[in-house]
Amino acid sequence: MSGILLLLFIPIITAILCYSSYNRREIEYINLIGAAIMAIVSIFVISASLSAPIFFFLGMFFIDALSAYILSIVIIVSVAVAIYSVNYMGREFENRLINVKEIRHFYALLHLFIFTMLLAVVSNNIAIFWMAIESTTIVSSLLVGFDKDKASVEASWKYIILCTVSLIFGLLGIFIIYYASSTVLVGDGTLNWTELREIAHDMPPETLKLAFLFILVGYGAKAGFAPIHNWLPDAYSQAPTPVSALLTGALSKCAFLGIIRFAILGNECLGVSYCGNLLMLFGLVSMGVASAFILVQHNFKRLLAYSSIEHIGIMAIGMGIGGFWGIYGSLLHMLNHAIVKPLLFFTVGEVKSKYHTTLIDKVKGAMFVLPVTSTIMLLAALAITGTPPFSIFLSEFTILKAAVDAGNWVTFSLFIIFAAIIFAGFLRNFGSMVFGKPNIDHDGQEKKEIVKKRNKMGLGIIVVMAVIMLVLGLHIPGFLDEILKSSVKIIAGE
Amino acid sequence: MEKSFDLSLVNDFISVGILLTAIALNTLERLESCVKAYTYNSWLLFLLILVPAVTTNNPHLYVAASLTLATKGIVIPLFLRKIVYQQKLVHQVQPYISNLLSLTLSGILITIVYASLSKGISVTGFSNHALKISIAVILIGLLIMITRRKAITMVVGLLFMENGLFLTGFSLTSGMPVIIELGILFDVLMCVIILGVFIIQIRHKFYSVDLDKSTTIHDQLTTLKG
Repeated sequence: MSGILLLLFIPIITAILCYSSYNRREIEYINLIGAAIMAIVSIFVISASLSAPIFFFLGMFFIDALSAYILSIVIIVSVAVAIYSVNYMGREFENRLINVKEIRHFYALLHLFIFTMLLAVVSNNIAIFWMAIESTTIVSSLLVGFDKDKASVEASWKYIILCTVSLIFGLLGIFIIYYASSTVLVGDGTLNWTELREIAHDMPPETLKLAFLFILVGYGAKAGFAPIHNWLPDAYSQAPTPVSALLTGALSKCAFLGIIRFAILGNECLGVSYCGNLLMLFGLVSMGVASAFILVQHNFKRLLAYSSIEHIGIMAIGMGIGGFWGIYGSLLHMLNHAIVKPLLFFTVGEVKSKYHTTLIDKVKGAMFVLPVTSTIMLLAALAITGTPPFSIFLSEFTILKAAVDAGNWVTFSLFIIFAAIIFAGFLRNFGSMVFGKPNIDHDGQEKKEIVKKRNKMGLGIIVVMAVIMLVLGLHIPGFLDEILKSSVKIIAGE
Repeated sequence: MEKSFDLSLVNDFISVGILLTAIALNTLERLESCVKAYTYNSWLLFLLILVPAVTTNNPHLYVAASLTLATKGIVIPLFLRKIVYQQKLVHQVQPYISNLLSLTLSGILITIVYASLSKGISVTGFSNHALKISIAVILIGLLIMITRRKAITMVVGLLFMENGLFLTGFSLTSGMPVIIELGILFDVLMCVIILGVFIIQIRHKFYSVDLDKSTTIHDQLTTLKG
């Protein structure tokens, strides 16, 4: 229990220290050390929670295998982003695009953002979960609008308004669940998820159906499901690259965790078909919309944003098909996406700061300008579209297997069609960026020693993530398999 | 028995007042009046929580009422008023649709809510109309957000939705645990402050808070020139 409290306090302390320091190097070291301590503490917390769920603070917070899994995803992405930020923001600083004051704000907000996500993941009380998700909107909208130019202010405005409005509907769903629980318990209802799960059988089914719809709209907007995704391409493309990586890698998984928790409640009461079909519908619509926009995209950051919509759709499809392999594949896909998509954002971030543009047409021959980065970028682009032997292929294949097992041929064929379209779109766009004759000068002589060192750090994290991407495609380690199986057990019931 | 009857009647009166302030928002021409409508709405919400607090003498409800008054009744309206006075621009609301159409749509929304909630969820003896009115207020808030041009009217619409949501929560459950209410109010407060910051930034960047003039990013689906 004290470990979890420590884990929650580390990002806050890091944020305060980053804010109170006025020296850039000092802030960068605080950021790195804070992230490293957070990662070390989280290992103890996660391994302790695997055997039995840990409760604390009157049962308002808890960690079971499912939240431990999402927690580890959030931590991995956060550490990678903390390392990459030193590279990215340092370059922005050297190009005099930002000053020390803004660096202070950036790192303080970054760690506060990580804190709100950790809080969301470990909360058992569904209202505290809602508050944490709403706080992620508030904190990350400041990060999305960090550049303070026209486009980013507009993107963050859109982001905060759309997400807040849909989260209002999510809160309405929580009120309805509370009402349903008070009819069962007679008197005061409960908001703790573990208690709600125990009484879910006896809740009125119609009320629970209504509540799940509202929750799906509320958290679905945050996760990036298709009809309510409009904020997402703008926010992802206008945010600084590390923030985009954190949004897609960690935040969408936190929001999806909320949907999973409510789907479990719904499944207990309504049977698996109601929530499953809704999730599958949203997933297919998301994939369809994303495939249409990926094919005709001219901006590579927006392209990646639409790809995030596609992948949240794939996770929803896996969860919707259900069964052991559907849920297993969906959970595995979360981790794979959380590694490959930030990796892609990091690499295109390097390309963007070299070419000073985000338009695909204006980037040519990245292979010759940034050899290592663009090779990895092309590999990651292949990976994200589900090419073997990378990790995403494995999880998508598992989900497709579940679809075949369930005899769900409509979902299966639509999935294949959309995935093929997206593959074509990705290959066309990334191929034209990577190959060809370079259209900018590339002389590496102006690099100072210190810049080189920092670039090594950014490159290091890119290479490490690429290795993880390849390894997870070939072999799932035992501990990962174990945590996935116990998470599936929580979702599917004993 | 007689006392509870009185209570329900008072609550109905207050909730109708809340609905009326939301409907009035459809026809208000000036930003200042919109903020004023929100203030009245919040004060009515405060009264609605205060009445059962006094009759049942429940300390939890007193806390909820005073928190509502402090944030929604005082801090947020003062903050919004400051932003409105800072604008020094046209203080007209400038809706996309005429006031008459806006009012008609609100009327239709209220009818739909009353028709669809006539049976189904039964409310636990708090008030017969509070739940229906609260859902109607949420929808009217959404309508205001969609049909108005200015950034600040969007925020006012959002706040009306929040108030409607509080009324829903209150009428469904007669009060959530205090810590939850406190957290939600804090979130709303922070949200409004951040939105205020963005309104000021939008004004700086675009020299206008008209959101029509501020759409610069979108998907470029046609072939780019140059």
